Amino acid sequence: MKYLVGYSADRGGQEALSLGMMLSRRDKAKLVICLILPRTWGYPSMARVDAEYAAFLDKYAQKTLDKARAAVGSQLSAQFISRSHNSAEEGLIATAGELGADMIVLGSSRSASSGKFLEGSVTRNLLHLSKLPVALATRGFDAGPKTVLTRLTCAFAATPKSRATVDYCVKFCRKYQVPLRLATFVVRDKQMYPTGAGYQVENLVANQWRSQAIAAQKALLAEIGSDMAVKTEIGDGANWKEALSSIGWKSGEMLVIGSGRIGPPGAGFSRLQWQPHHPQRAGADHRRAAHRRIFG
Amino acid sequence: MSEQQTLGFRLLRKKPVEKLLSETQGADSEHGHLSRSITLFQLVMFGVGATIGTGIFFVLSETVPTAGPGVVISFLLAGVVAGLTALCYAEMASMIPVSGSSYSYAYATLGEIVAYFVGACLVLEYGISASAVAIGWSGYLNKLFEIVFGSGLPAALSSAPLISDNHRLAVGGDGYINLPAAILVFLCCLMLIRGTKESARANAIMVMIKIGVLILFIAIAATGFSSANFQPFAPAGFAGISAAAGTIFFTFVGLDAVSTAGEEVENPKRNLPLAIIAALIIVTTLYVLTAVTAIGVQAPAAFEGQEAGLATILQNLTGSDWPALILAIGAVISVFSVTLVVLYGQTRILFAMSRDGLIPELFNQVNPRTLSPVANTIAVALFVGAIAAFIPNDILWDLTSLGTLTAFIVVSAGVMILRRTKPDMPRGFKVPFYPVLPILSILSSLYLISNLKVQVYELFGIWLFLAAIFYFLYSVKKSRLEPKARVTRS
Repeated sequence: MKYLVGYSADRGGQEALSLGMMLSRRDKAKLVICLILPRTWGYPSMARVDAEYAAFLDKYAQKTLDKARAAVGSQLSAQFISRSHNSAEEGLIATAGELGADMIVLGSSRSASSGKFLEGSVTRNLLHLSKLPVALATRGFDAGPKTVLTRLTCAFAATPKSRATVDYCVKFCRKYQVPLRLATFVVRDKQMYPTGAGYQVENLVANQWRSQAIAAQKALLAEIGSDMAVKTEIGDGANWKEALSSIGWKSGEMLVIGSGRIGPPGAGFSRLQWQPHHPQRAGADHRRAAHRRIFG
Repeated sequence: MSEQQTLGFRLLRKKPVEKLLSETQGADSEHGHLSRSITLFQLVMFGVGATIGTGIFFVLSETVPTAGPGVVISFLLAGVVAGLTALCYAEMASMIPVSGSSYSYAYATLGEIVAYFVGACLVLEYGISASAVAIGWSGYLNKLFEIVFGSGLPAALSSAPLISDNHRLAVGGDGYINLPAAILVFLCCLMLIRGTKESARANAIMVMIKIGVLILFIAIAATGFSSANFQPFAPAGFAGISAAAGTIFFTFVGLDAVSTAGEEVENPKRNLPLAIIAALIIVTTLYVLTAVTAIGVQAPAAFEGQEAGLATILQNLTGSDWPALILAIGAVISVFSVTLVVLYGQTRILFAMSRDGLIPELFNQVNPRTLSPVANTIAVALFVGAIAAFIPNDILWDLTSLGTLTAFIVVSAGVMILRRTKPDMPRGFKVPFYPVLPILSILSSLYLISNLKVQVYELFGIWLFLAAIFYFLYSVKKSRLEPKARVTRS
């Protein structure tokens, strides 16, 4: 396995690096920490147009990658590179192809609040274009030096696309001996006002969805087979935040989400998003919830 | 055949209240119960918001030709009946704190067959009123186009091919299809499929727009007031006034929504009746002022067949487009939200009936992607959209009122039955002056029904007959309370 970390000098880059390191600790995967720089005007010219800017970028890249090198230390096998490209997302995709990476790791948009993930333009475009799974660090994510991937929670929405996500997770968990948990979420935040049919009528819909989800999970478990212990869970809440919190999270656990709505048609795992969850911290429940845009 | 499978038992079997509760509560008590947080003021505003929908924008053109200026009395009459039934709703809601539709109440208290027919009435009430509202919206949209672009849509694309000939459907309309009405239903359907929620704030904005527009109308129309238009006051006598009251009744639908908030209200025993009465007074005052000023501006005869009536009145009065433009925009925006809410209510009532096995399972299947009942919503939109596209408006209002009044009678009767059969069951709120108020509620509802046209009864009868056939062929065997069905489904 080889993980390509989309690195930058800001906190988002630190978060992505932290997540990449946590992932690679589990399976001794190789890390490639990659800085995408803007392309300079490389054509020869009398006035050496952009030469100064190019020199500045070189220095900047050295400095930034040195910082990453210091953070990684010597425990993990890592490669530090920079590439010039017209856009960060195209650069990452090209580099992933060039190096044969298996996953791209990114940080959250700076617009997200602490503990949440919000896709920025790079992530959004990457999810459109990339054929690889994308691991996304929540804002402020900082795995400790000994934190390893402890469990995958696969968000299973009982759709065919979601089934492809599950297949990917099953393969991954079998290969790396990580426990798998299937979670389906029942969210009750769609109450119309006024309802015309009573305040709790939306619970009727949510409870029906719960029954359908339980049946779908049972059917899926039968297909997966008994050689692998898969835990199932129904997350329930008045909104996504509550629903996500309701199932409990381990330290080093990742949430895997298929993002079929915004992804291109193609292989199931081409549209995966992974998100880490911090260990439970007192008073910090709200920080662990992923931003609902991800779930659509 | 065991006693449990006799037809009589099946028709009268009741859904246990515990089962109702478990179906409409969340996974745990934290999610299932809402804290009591609604104040009296909020509840009054909620009642006003839920009641002032769109009817007042359209209903004068239907009722003034019938009642003349006496339509003012019709509004008062309809308001009193609505208030009585709302109080009965409040007692029922306080006994059975679940999804507050009269269908659920009837299933828990009066038995399956009554519940089923209440459901059928509600389908008529919601489905037909959504169509009627969409047609009214089409009129205001056309008015908006006329003001902005100088001409409206061609009649071929903006009016129904069928007409109402003395409340009988006949071919001979000006158009092929009422396209804007159908498009409105389609757009609402799309929003519901996406699981769109109307937040309290969005609703409040819509209510402010609606009330603001009505106040604007009253203020401007008052400047052209002529008392001569009030002579004769009641050309068709009290018969005309009460007939109009029957039609007007639907403009008060929504007042009962106050009672469904029972669980969330602070001090419900005091605040529920106060909120219902206060909301009723505010709404009726606005309606009466709108009617009085409208008639003050134009003679009763001019209301006949007038589309986008309020906007047209202002345009004629001021000779200027801007008041009519504001009114038309306000109507178009607020009517959109009302159509959305009514369609939503329709889908959820069908969902509840399907969950109980009384209609096919298709109606309670939740789409995993949107987490909303997509098939149900599409079915409702096709039904409502087709009616809105091809059937004229006037017949729909009366059908809506008839469906609503029937459901209200059942609730009022339910209150009386439960006082006898379950006298000890806890009630958060009790109808005052029992049994006078429930009896008055039933009698006044019956009176309003008796004034509707015979042709409306025929249509209603046909609807109930079809519903009965469906019940005996399908629902009675598929009901979740049917022992055999329960085994196969679990």
